[in-house]
Amino acid sequence: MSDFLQGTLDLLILKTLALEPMHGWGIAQRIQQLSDDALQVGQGSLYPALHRLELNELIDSKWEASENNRRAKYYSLTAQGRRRLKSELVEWKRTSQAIALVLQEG
Amino acid sequence: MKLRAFFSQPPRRELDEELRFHFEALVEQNIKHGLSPEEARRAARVAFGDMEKAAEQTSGQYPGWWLETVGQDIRYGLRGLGRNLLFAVASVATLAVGIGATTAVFSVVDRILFRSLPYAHDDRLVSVGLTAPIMPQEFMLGSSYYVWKESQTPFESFTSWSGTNSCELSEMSPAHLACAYVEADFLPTLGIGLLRGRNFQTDEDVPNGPRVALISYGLWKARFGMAEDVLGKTISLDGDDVRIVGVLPRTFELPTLDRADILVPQRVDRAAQGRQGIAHIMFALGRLKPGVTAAQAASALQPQFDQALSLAPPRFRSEVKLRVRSLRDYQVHDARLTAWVLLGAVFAVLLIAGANVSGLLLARAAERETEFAIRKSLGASRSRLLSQMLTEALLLSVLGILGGWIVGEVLLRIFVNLAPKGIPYMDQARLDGRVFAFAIVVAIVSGVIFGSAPFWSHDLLRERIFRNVTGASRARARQVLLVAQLSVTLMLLAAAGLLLRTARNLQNQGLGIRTGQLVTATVHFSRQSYPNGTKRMQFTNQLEERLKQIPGVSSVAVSDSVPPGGLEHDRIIGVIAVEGKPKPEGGTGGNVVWRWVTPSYFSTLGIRITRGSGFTEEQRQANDHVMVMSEAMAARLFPGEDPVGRHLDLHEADTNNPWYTVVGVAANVKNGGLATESEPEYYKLWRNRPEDWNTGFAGADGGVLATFILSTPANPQALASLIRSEVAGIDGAVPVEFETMRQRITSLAERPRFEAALLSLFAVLAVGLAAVGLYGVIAFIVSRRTQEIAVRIALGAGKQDILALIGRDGIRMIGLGILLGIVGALSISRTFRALLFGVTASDVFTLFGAIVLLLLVSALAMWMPLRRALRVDPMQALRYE
Repeated sequence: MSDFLQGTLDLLILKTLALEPMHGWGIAQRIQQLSDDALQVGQGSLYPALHRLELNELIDSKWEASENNRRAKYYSLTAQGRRRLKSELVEWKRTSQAIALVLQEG
Repeated sequence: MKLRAFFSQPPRRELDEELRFHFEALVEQNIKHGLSPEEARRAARVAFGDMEKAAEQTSGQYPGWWLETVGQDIRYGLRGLGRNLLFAVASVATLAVGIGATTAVFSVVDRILFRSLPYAHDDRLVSVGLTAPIMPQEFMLGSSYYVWKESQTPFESFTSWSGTNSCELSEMSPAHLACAYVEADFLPTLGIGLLRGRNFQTDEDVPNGPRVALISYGLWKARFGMAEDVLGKTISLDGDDVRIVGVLPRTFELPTLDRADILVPQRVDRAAQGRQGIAHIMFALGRLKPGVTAAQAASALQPQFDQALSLAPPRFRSEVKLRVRSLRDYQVHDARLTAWVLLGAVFAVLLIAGANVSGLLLARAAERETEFAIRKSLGASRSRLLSQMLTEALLLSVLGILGGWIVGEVLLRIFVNLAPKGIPYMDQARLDGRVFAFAIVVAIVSGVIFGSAPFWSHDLLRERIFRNVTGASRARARQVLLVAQLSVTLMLLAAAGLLLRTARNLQNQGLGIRTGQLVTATVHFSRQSYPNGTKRMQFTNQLEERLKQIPGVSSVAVSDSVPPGGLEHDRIIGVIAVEGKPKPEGGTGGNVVWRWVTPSYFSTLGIRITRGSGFTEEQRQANDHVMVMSEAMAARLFPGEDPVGRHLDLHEADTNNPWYTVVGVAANVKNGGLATESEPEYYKLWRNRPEDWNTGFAGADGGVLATFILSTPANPQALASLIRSEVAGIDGAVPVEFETMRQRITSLAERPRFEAALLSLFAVLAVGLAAVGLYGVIAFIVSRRTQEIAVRIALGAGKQDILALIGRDGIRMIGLGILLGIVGALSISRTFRALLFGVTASDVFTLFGAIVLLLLVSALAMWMPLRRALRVDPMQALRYE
């Protein structure tokens, strides 16, 4: 995947986790599916982002059995993460509308 | 960011598991898409990319990540060093020796050569005075000193002092102290302020002025418990009431470094100076005006000097010189050259050690090129590789520093124990923190530079492939380092050889006396208990009789001093008049040494009487004035004549100058110390007359010394207790010191032995280091050229060809190193000619010995790698590539 804006990847991760707790592989898959394969998240950016978000206490993690019964690290949103997602979404909408306006002008 | 996060990094194991889960999921997905398990795995690996990099980047999200990384690097580094133990030990040992030796030597010489003296603007302080053959240390006479003080121009202030003497604090608990006698402006001229109280006033520095004293910090603490009310207190000094007016600062030291517990005004009678031969001997110090040099001051003092000279007896004029030199030179005189030689030697060792460590690191870097090239192509980041290399180099540095500290402490302890008396500050030598810090910085900086060397060659992989091309320049650098090492080692070896021969020559030279089976016992008559000659004479006679009774003692002689060195009376020969000859004109004629002896002195010490006879017991009881002179003195005063029976006027100050009859001539005996030219000598008979016992050598407290010389085959240790009990049988309060004649001579050669021992130590270190370096370089060449050797062997080259191929490099380096070393050795040995005795600076034998030793060690160091070259198996070596 091409260079993601760091904030964008964080937002996608938070949005994905808002539905249910998920491990890194699942998050990457979900983003890929939902974007019709347009967005492919490489683990080179995914895991640093996950760990950064966890460090900032926006998400939490625990080790659980996965769907095929292997140990996997599941991430979930914290209350703080939920609040951050809400404000980021508002911000994102405002920004994308603004960008759309600019592009339409052209 | 939470502080806790700093430490809450998930273990690397967990991160790996998380990533592996991701990877496995990817594989499963590929299988689901219809790939075979093997293909699925390969595809996943391609899709996944660099797992190591992902893990590193994830870890990098944590603020404490670098702690983790550094810890990991250190573990890797230690493991790497452990795998290559020989390299690690060699590097650490080399570093330790380099740092330790440099720090220890620097700690010793720093005070001698560099550190400022504890006086304000000490660079402007000079010692001023006259020197004469009889008084090699500059001095002044009161008759001219005060004239100079009034009329001099180059100094801001000009002061004097009169040396130290023992003095006694007699109130309460008596104590022997050292008193220094100084002029009132002595302390201000040196720029020393007082800790408490005030300096002397001018009206206290006159013959009948009020008695005052300044006490040292040590005395204030020990005797007065640092009480503030010590000022104004009256103490009883040698029976006089003296008022304490001040306390000296803790750092106070006399220009001569002599001990001083109490300072008192010297109270010279100025008006009396120069009248009827009254002249107070004193030592002058000047504070130069800003910008004036010592040499300028000397020329400015020329008129005063000429005037003083015109007052001196004519025979002195040609031999008296004016000397103005810095206080530091005055203080350390001959220790200075020793210090520079030591410093030079240790710099040489440091140079060799540095060359070795860099050589070792370069070789290791070359060895690891393959490893780093592979790791780099596997995706390890440049910064990670660099940090690992640096960590390893720094680990070596840190271990080397720790080792260096230990080596430094040990060496310093060796120096202090080995050092003879008279090397200033030796007893205060501590491992110098600043120097050690400097050594640490050097070790770390060089570790960083050489440790990261392989990193700076940009394309590691290419270099590895064409290694014979690029490796060559690095090998050349090592060869240059090695040539420098070998030449410096040869220089050190030659210098050590010269000093070793000096020490040997000094001890083995013909002394003119027997040294075996002789024991000396020196008794010390204190001024209080033995105030006059009668009592000393009685004691001596009694003890002599008792010692003769000890079984196994074959003879006992008594003298006030013993050759070849130590205390000796000396005077100028020019004042001695021969009956029937005109008084000699011209110069002083140099020095003549003399001593009091009893008749058995000559037979006990084995000194041959070559003409006439020695002294007899009858003469000892009689009232005649008799003397024996050495052959050297006879040749001087009676060239071609027989001195026996002639009469001499010795021109003594303390007798009424009777005519002495020469009864005999004795063979020459080494006197004036081991290293200096012997002087003519005469002996006066120590008769049983009190007036002969009034003069003698002043002991530590102004008492008189008498040395009993016993000839005995008995064990000196056993004898000591017997002598002690005999002394105690007469007077238990008389202290006595024992020494065998051999010990006395050995102790005189202490200083040259110290110099020789230290330089030999450094030379041995240097040889060892150079051998390690040579071994390393040859081994390096062999490993670099293994394929070449293999090809040559495969093409039919014989053992000689291989030896010639590899050995040629080594031999060329050794030859060049030795050539440069010879040039260096010849030029440096000239600088310390003054330390040599009985051997010239360009001694061929010593140089040859050093070359042979170096060649032997070099051959040994080259042997192992050469043997490996001969054992190269062509098939194996070629297949390896």
